Amino acid sequence: MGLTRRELLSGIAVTAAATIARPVPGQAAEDFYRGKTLTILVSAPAGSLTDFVARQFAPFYVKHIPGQPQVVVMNVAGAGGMVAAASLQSRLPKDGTVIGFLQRNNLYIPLLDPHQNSFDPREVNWVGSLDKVNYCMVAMTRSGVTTAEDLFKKKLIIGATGFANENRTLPALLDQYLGAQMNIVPGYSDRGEVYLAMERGEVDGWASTIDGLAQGEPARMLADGTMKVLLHLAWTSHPSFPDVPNLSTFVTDPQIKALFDFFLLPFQAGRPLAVPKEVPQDRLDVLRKAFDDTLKDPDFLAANAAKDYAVDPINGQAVADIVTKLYATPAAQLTQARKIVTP
Amino acid sequence: MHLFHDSVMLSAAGEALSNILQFHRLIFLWLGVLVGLAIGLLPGIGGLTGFALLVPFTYTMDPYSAFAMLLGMASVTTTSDVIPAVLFGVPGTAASQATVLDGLPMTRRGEAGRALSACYLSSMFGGLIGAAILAVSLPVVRPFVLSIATPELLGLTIFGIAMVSTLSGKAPLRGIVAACFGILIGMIGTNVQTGQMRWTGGLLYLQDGVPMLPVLLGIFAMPELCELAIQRKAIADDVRFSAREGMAQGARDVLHNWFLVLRLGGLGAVLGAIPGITGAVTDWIAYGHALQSEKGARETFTTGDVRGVIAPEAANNAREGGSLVPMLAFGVPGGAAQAILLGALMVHGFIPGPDMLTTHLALTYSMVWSIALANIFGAGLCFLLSGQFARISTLRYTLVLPVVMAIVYVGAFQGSRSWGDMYVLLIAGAVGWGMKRLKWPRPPLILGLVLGVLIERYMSISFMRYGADWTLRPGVVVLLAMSALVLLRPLFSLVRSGGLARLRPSGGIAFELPDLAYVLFLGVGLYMLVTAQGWIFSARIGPTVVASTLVVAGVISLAYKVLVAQPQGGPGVGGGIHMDLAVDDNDALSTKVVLLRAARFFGWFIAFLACMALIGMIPTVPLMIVAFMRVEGREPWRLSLILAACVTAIVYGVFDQIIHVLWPGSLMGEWFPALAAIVPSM
Repeated sequence: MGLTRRELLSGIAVTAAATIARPVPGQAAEDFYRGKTLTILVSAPAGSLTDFVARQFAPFYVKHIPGQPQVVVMNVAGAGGMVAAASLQSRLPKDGTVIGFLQRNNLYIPLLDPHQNSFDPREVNWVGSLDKVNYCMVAMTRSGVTTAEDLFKKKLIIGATGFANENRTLPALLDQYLGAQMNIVPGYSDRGEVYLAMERGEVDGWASTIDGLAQGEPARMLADGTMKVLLHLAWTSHPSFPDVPNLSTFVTDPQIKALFDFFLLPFQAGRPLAVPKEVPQDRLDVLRKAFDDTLKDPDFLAANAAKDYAVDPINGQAVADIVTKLYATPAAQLTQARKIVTP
Repeated sequence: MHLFHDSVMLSAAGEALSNILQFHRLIFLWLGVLVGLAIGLLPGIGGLTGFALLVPFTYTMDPYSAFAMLLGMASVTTTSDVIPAVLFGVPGTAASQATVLDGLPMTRRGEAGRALSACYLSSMFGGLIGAAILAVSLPVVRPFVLSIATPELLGLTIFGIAMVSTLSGKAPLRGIVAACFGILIGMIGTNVQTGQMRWTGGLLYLQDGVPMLPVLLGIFAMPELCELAIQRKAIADDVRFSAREGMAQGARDVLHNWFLVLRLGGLGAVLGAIPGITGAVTDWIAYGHALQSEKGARETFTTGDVRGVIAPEAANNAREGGSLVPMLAFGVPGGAAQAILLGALMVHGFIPGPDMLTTHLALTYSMVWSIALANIFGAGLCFLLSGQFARISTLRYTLVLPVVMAIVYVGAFQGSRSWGDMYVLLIAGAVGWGMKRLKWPRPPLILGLVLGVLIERYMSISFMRYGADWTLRPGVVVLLAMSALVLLRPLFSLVRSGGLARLRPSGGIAFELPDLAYVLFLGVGLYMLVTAQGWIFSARIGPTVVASTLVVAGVISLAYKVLVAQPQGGPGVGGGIHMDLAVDDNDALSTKVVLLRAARFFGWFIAFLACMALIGMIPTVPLMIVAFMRVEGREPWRLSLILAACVTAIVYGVFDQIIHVLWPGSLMGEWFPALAAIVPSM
């Protein structure tokens, strides 16, 4: 029983491939990136805020990597960033030339939705996260719901985008576990549609990010009093609206607190960056250090400030710690959380 | 007071014009126009990509130049997208689907120059009308947009879907089946209201739904290319007009139909102002409207009636002006492309919203002027070249087909840049060709695909927010009444012409092989109907209604076809046109030859896919072009290599170097990573 020709050929091919693919030992990580191109894989479509942030970040980031590689930003949108995360984990080069610019839902959705198990946030190495996300409830003053207490006493019709989006799940948590009286209408395509619906009186509020209130129409409506911030969906009040109460006033039951924690924790890692697990440790160290340095780079900070975008970073280890904590969530809370996110 | 207002507007408009007419700003506008024309030519990239590409350059420009360039680009993608649509039946963007229906038959008749020239001129006038409407209505537009709530949007989309009855021609039941099929395809993916995954089969690819682009190219472009491969001759035997005559004739056509242009320009601008109503929707509403309102259109549309290209083109370029309304008047973007524009505005320190209509009126009017000038520049340039473009239609099919095939494949891949797009293109292509050959109208399928999801989304919001009261809103009542009229009018005319009298059972059964198409549609409909029943009510109700309608309409149509006497032959006899491009079977090729050649055409595609899996997409492009030209046409090596090199250079330059597409990788790349590091897309 000799080898067939095909077996022989494929054997040769595999051996050859293995020889070529093996990383050259002793090549210092400092030199590795010289003359190479670093691909930053953005998990959101061109033109989205995430894409904007990534493209802003990319040129500064590579300046802090020894060898100063070229940089290319690629958009791989789809399934809420899951397509990008999954391809990062499975099929993209694992030598450190591809880095994923992911989103926070990549950290917790795989835990809740069995359909989305093609990515496991424990199976990649985290480089850091650029900002934190802070949500709050806003409502039009005309609705008569003008304080956090009103949310629990009066009816309020609010808009939301997708079913699994945080702007629906967070209000749903308030309704279900804290007795808020909100009637949530999901299905608007984006925040623009929600604000139009608010202006024409179709809905009276929604769960907005604090960043989203900083400029444009929302800022104007807050300034002239037609819209109010009612409640921070966090354990502390964001400095932009320090007088507005936060969840710690309303959540006392430790069980419920744990459930809220599950949803709020990933917000600490709003825009996390990851590389495949197989990337050698020294290259990971280089990428992490470059991340930390970039986030201290005054030029980078100034460029962001000029465009009204504030970074609020945490480092790679902190992102990994968040993932560990999320995956240690007791089964009871996971079941409750699943009910909020899946039909 | 009113007078004062007018004078403020006029002076702002005047100031804006003098701002735009600065030499360096005009240069930027020109640059934008050139990029926009190039983007429109290639299927797979549209205005959104253009914005994403250009916006970074605008940060350092002065705001007038920046928006001149951006809007210059955005305004003309729907001008040049007609070139592939008219010449090859390949829509350059989703907004030129309807143009194919009359544009391609005109080309086949040798009137490509006339069709293109008519397209450009109606595009230009449409664009100008859109800009003019924007300019005049800006100060008063807020109440209009605020009066359109979700129930009105629902009414409007229902009005759109009612066009199915018009767009189905003489096969209304088949049209309903096709439309329902399209809606069901649109329902695949995550249901936004309930989070229910519908028919995703656990695939990440399907979670966001089936991407529009590969379906569109599969349903419209692939069948036309397949026909070209079957006929084995140039698209047009001869160009009927000289370059100059064609241009002149097209121009005369547009001027002659000035009222149609005016109406559809207005319609396009109004629809553009409504977020959610995309160019693809506008396109069909425009075509349907022309079909209903123009004299004799029911007999001549889809056979190369110039009004069939004028109508959608006028509406689509007018749309661009209208689409700025939500952003300018409310500071909220009407879509992803507008969101980028909004971001650019903010970078330049402008706060979109009511201020744009007062403090920054001059900038706002400079945008209006930019749109107007871009339409003139863009259409003018294309117009001057239309005679040359028309000549392409007389080239040998072995030169045209491999190039267009490669571009369609690469274009479809831009749907979501994954292998799934290629499979969708293959399946949609096969279904589309089958529908074309067996005389099932394809436009309703696309209409269903485009509108179905919107209708479900709007309906869910309407019911959740207003209960059943939404049906009583005055705007909704008007729209629903109009929908009923549009839907039922073809039926009335059928009854009046005595069409129903023919519904007499023949007593015999006549089942033919082509009736197997029913089995496919009914099978899919039944499968979807049954599988949907496990979901919660809000996720189930839409698919249940649509799939039931499909099954009922399909069964009636089949029963009619099989059981009812057909003295004149052909299904659904009752006068009217077959609402699709006719199959050009003058040569009366035998069925066997047709099937063999079609199998060969799809065989080339499958070979492309296999080769792509092996060595990557970009290396496959030249390989396939050369192979096709050598095998199918015995074209000389030199010509084959030159053509292949040109197309590859374009694909590589645009998709790899400029847009930075992440290619799916290949077996060869896995085996030899060193090779993959050198060869793009491997």
